[in-house]
Amino acid sequence: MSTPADPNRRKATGKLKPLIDFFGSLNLTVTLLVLSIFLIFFGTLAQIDQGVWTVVHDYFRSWFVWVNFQMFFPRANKVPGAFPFPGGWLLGNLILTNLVIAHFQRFNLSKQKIGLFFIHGGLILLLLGEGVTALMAQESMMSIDEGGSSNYSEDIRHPELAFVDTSDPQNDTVTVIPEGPLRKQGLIQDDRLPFDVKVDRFFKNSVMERSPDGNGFIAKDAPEVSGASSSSGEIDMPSALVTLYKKGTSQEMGSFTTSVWLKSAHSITATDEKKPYDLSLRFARSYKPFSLFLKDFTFDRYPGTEIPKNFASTVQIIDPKNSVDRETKIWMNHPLRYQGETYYQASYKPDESGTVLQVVQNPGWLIPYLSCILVTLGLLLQFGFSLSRSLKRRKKRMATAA
Amino acid sequence: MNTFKKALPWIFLSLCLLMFAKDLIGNPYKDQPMDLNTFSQIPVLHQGRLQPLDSFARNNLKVINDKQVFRDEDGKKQPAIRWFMDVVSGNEASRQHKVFRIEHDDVLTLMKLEARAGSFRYSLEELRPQYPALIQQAQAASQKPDTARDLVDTKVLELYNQIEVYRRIAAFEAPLIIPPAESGSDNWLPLGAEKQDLNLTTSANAWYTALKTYQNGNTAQFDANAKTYLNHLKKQQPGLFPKIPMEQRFNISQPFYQAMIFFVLSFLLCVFSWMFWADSLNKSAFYVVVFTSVLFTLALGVRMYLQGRPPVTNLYSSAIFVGWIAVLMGLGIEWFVKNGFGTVMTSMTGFSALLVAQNLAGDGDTMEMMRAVLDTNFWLATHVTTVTMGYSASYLAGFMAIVLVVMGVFTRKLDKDLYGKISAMIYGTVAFATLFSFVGTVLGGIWADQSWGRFWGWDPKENGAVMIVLWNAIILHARWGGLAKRQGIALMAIGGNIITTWSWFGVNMLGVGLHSYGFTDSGFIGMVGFVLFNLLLICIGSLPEEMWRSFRNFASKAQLKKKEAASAQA
Repeated sequence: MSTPADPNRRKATGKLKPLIDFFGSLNLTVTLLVLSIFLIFFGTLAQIDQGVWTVVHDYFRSWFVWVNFQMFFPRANKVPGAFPFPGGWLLGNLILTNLVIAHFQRFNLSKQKIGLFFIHGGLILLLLGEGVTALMAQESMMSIDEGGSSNYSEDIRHPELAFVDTSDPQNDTVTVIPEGPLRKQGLIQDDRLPFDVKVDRFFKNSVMERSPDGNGFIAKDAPEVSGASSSSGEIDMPSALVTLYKKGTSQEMGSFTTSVWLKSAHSITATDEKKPYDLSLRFARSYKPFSLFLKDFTFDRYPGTEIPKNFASTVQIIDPKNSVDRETKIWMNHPLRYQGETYYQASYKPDESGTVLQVVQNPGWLIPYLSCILVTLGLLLQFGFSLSRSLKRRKKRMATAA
Repeated sequence: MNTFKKALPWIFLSLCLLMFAKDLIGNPYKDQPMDLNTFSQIPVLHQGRLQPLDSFARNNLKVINDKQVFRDEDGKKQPAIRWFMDVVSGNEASRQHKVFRIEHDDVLTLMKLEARAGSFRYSLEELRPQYPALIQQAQAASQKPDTARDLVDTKVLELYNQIEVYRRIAAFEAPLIIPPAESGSDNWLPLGAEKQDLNLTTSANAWYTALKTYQNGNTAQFDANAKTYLNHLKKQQPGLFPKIPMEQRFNISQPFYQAMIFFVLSFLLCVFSWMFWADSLNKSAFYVVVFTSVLFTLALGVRMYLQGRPPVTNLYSSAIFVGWIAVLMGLGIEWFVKNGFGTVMTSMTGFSALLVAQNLAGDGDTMEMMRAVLDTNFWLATHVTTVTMGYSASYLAGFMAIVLVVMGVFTRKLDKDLYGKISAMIYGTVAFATLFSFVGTVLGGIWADQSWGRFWGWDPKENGAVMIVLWNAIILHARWGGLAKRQGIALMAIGGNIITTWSWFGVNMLGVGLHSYGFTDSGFIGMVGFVLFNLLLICIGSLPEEMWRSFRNFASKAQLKKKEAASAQA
């Protein structure tokens, strides 16, 4: 065990010494770990009301977070107020600094320290890996009907308002307004569009009701799907009420209810250009340079029950650019890795007519594997070493006792 | 007297052995007029799992009655299989059996029934007049989303589902009892299917005969038919044997329940050994604990064989496994210290884990089939097992610290040497817990990455697991940094109990925990009680060591000596 009075410890010198000693100290380690436990605890409680991704954004990928007192009390009693707490970025970076300094100060490759060296090296990697994932990983969903194909995936956490110009019979031109401006609401002017768009209301999650006059639907605000209930597969279904104006004027062209619930788009014709546009709110799409054709989707259940036993999709990868045209099977715990993305069997269409694949692009996916190997090796070395020492001591004691 | 003291450990060992053997070999249904022991070995399919009729009857009676037995009109205890036969054969008695457990006042009012304190059990006949009203309420409740239901809604739905269980059995919908004609197929069918497929007539006829003879009390024919049919199945479906009869034996002998009783016995023996006959009783306790551990291990092995899975597949089995690991480590500790401390730890942790398991098995140990994403023995064996071992070690460290604090503060049993030894063991166990909870958690991340491409998602369960890792890491670093000494480490280890309980159970209650009925949920109350208990112990243990009874005595003795020395000098 490393004690504070460690002979191997490399002493910092000069003006920076107190600073380096502070940032490399075990006291700081313990303080930061305790703060982390609290942050994680708050971030868990917050998921009773909020969606897991909102919590990840607010608690774990932020510098500071305001923790509401309300989360500690039953929802029936309203408790106002909040207190600030260091967020995941801040704690993560401090722990990283602490680890790196400690690594240089205290650990080395001697027989007694090699375990600690591996453990903390692995932890540094793990933290870096989580940082890479937070900054660079992208997740989306691709749903394909049996006998159909798809060349895009949808990001079910972020909607976009899409204007599709269908005037060219060969190609559609798509202009999108991403979630950020939609959330802010208000007037949006875009040079690519022949009109101005005003977002009257935006609902992160919504329900649709038939409008009282019998024409179409109206969207109503709904609470966010909480992290605690999202495991049942529910997702947020956003809606937006938008009004279009003639470009640069206040002349109304019409108001529209758009929602990811609605499958058909609103057709709009900008009067000056005679160009038809399809307006819809949809989950943000990312298009791929290839397409997947779903040849077969199977869904096995345990006999006499509805408990799913296995789902599997047989898909054909069609990628003319790289002249790839091959068949592959995707099923539980057996994803397809292609072109830097990984396709996982995630779900299926409600009527089982097609598959839903989770598409993940994460350049840092291998880092946790490496770090896990390092830390496990380190822990085994470290504890194995101290166990053998303690057993030796015991033997000696027994020998002297006898 | 001395010979008796010497023989005592063997006497206790034989007693346990006899008690268990009686249930392992005996026929518990011998009081029944018919050979239900044979009949309950007949395989059926329910919820995708092949099982003996005995398991089906027990688990379903438990859903309704909260127990695997019921009391008939004469107040006599009757086995679940008797209830099943009464229901499925359409016996008039089945309507009179008071098996439906209803406690909630509003549900009783809805059903226009009087509260029946003590038993809380009602018969189908008593429920019948108000059944339409129940359906109405149940329909309204089922249309609400989970989170909007209040306690009454939940209880109404519960009762509705209990009556459904009864109805499905009476209508031959569950379990599926006709085996497929060709062996190797798993296409089991309900009674009545033989009308479509003549190959199924043998099985169907055997069942019709059984039901008819049971109904009109023709014992000889019932017994003969049961034997013939079971032999026929052994030939036709050889793959099901000997697993199915073995499961029936497993149900009857209830090894985990027996282990619980033996753990209580060994704990009591330990406690008595502190008062008198130290060596003899201590040895007795140790023998009993070793026997119980062997029994526990065998039972776990048999359960794994029956399910064909690694040990942990759901919350119930995780509790069993936590207990088993704690028992093994407790025995290891006894091997290390040889003073009975390990025996006490083993009994305490083994008993607690099994008690928790009993309470978790709401519908009995159903050994249910694994959903698609969980249907992988590799990850169940690696991630789930390791992470559960981490829980187990954290609890063991916490329980050792509790014993340490109680011994130190309230008794004079703790001396410096033992204090040092127990502290060293707590430290070692925390180190073990760190290793296993970390590896288990990371393996979970890797499984998640393999299944849906996300190593870490910050969901409640993952957060709970990482909190255990962090807490154990804090304990270790606090010790290395000199921030906490023996007393501090012990108190932090007790804190580990709270954190482990939070991640094991607390996070599962999040979805409902803070909503309307969470606070009245018995599981929630149990958890809060345990947390408060640990907090109380932390407070008690925070008393300065000089004030602990063990050391106060020690200190005062030292002072006394000083005084004596001073007076002698004077």
